[in-house]
Amino acid sequence: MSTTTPAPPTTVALPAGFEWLGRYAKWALDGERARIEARLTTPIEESRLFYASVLAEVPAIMAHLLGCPVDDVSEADENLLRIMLSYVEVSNAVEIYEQAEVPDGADLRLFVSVLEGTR
Amino acid sequence: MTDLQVRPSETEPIGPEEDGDTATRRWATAYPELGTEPISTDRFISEEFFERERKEVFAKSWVNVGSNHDFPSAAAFFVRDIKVLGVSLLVVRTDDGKVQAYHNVCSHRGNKLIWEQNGPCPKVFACRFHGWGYQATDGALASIPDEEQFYFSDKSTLDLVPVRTDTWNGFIFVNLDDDGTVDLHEHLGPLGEKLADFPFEKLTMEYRYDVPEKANWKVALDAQNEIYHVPMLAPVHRFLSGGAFHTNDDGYTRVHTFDRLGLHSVYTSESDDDFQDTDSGVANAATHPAFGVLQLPLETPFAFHVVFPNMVLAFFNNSMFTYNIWPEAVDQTTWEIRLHYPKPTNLAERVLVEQAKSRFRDLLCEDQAGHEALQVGLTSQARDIFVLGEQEVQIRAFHHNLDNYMDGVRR
Repeated sequence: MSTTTPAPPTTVALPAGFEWLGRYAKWALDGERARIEARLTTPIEESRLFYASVLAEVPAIMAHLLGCPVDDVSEADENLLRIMLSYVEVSNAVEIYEQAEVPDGADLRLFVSVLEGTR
Repeated sequence: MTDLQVRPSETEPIGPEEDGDTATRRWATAYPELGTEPISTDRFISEEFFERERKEVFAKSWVNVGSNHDFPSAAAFFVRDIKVLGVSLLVVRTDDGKVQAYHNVCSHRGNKLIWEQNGPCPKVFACRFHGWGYQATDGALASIPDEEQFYFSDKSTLDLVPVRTDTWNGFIFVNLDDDGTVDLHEHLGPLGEKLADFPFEKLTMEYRYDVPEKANWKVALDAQNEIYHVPMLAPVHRFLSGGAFHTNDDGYTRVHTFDRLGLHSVYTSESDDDFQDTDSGVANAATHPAFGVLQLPLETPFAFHVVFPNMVLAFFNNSMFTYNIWPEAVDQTTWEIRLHYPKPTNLAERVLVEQAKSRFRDLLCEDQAGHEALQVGLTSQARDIFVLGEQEVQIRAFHHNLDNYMDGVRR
């Protein structure tokens, strides 16, 4: 399987009221592989700032996502979801490890779901 | 087994105390047949022992090869290669819901019949080499291009070769021993009964990891088969020992219950009320508290079953994780990890499931490096024994069951 990931987006459509998240377009990534790669290659301070910005608005973001069924997702909602999934990906790194990698752990890149793209 | 004088002869076994937290020798007393001696490390590094496992265990046991989650549609197939047995299996579910595995081998000249991982069930499985076709309903040889060119005495001997197959609660098992007399129900025994009515259908497989590792399959299994390491090993583990797993006043985890279930066994752990989740954990959960309410009929938030020989079936809050630990060589294994959750119905639930997965996955990543390090230490033969404590009783039970199975015990 290829380990290269496409270049992250620079602008993304987002739902009304969440346009401010556009500054984090690079985190609207498609799939676990890309998100793990971003977690591992982004300086922890940058991840921390991203995490903190999203955390502050979690109630509003999740309230919106609660109203989005999993089928037939609009492009804007998909981008919002992707940004949230990246926020989840870096949360452990920021909150528990205070670094990007799992310390003394295996390579996180081994843990990419083989179901990716089928779910 | 090495015979060493490790049992302090003056110490009387102490029975379980009221809360079970400070009881010593609780499991040694409850299961005296398991003993308290060290076990030999030879079994993790010996080629001879690996060969015995191949011939006497994997070739003669019911082995879990997948579940209903592996079928992409109602009538479908998936392929499972079992390296330790040198076989490729075509597992087919037909319209009537029946599941049958066949050797994935064309009867013409032995080509691997189906090369795809999975798919909807065709009417006929066709070999890509010369187009020989086999009925999906029963594996019968249905069509041979240019058939008159062949000499057949009895074409019915050219049907796909079936393998003993059975299912339990959606889990699919095969047994490569055509002469075996134990059926799946008997093999699962008290474990099958204990979980007979468990609502597995509430959960869908959301993630699967196939992690290659340079370690003996039992090293990987043993390393995961206890919670003694939780307060010590690594940051996410230590974080979870702050209450997601109950710890006693000294900060150590305790097996809450342990039960031998025939060839299998289970231990459980409680949690503590004072668990403090991270800021994002708290914030995320607060947006949708209903999703965190336990939907599974579990008495404890953590239960870890070992399903002989190489499977783990475990529950952690609202999730089920399974491991299929596939031996490939004495020091090479694929650790197949499947994470199941209640199916997200909206995108907020998708985020919450992803959060549970990410944290658990980081936990496993912390564990996995240890597997390879363990194998290095064992291979060095610096030590020829392995000591196990009370909280590692399920490891002890597993090795006991393994030795028994090789001696012909089947339940």
